Amino acid sequence: MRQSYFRLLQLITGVAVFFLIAAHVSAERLEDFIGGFGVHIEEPTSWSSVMDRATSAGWASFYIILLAVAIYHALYGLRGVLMELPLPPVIARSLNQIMVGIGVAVFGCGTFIALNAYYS
Amino acid sequence: MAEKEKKALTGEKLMFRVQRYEPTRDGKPYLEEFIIPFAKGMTVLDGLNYIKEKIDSTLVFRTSCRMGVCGSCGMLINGFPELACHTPVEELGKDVIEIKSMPNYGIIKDLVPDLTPLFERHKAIKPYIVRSDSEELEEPTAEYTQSPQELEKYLQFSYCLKCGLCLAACPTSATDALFLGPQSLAQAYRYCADNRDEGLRERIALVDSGHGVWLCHLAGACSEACPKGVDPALAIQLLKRTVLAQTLRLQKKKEAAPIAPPPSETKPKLPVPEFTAKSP
Repeated sequence: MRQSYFRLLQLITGVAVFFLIAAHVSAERLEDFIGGFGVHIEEPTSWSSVMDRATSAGWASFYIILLAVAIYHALYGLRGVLMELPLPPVIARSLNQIMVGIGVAVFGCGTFIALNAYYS
Repeated sequence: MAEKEKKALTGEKLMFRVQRYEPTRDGKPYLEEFIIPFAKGMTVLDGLNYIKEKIDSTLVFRTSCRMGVCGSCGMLINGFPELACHTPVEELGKDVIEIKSMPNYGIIKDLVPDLTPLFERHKAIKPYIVRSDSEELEEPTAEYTQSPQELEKYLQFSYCLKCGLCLAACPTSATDALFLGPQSLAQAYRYCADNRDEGLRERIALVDSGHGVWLCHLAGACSEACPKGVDPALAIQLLKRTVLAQTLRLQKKKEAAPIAPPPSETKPKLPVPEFTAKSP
């Protein structure tokens, strides 16, 4: 696959991360602000409120998408930084596989937790 | 520096601290000091020539045209990659001038860098007009048409001397030995922007790779170092735009420039004014 596809995806996920993180932070910390948009969450950081959101299909999907987007954006950026370091040849050659491995592992773990909470 | 030498340097003398390195003898490069007379308007290259002619004939450096045209005398002068013939010592504003071989290259001897990586990468991007009508290219019957506006699109980038200063200045090349580098990427854009060329896809396949155009962080050091104002950083940004437009299929496929029609089919010249003297 051409590098420009990955790069384009990096740009798209960058924009997506900005809006998704903004929505996440607003939901967690700015109740009054999101109240203006008609979304009312009582004590967003309390256990019951967190579990309410975790068992909602919309919120669960939102968090899984945020996780995927953030992981791609972070790991692609990290890969770019690491590629410029004088890494040992073995690591340099397998850097892509290492990054994909970390990404899949973190996404798998995060998705497992989100789905586990959703079906609880 | 000794006090006596310090005094000698004020105004009339210069100290050149020149990198010396003989790979078969020296473990690593070292600096040798030379005191030379200052002359108004002298360049760093003049100083090096003085050293070679009058002090130490074993000093090795590349030079040819002495006027910033051939691009042979690229060196690291007081920490900046510059052409020695293009750098007046007065502009440096110091009596002590440190001259080293260009970074990001190997050293053949003293101030002579091994430019093989530069030329290898330059060759890789196909720095020539690629056409499907190879017969016409081999045995041309006429010129390809090109308007002044089409020429303007790449003209600035065609002034490249292949001196290698941009690659010496590039921080990405310093950390990634496989990075294509500003010279070859700028030349890739120069040919992609040429309306006579049909090699866009072939070049994109090369530059749109892991060590290609996307590694450029737009530090702009290449453009600052370029002695001919080529602005490789701009070319790289334009190349990124071209690559992305191709990826998203936003760019319409352009027809390559046709060959110019024979003179009989061109517009007739304006009639000779009546008042012009005619031959009998």
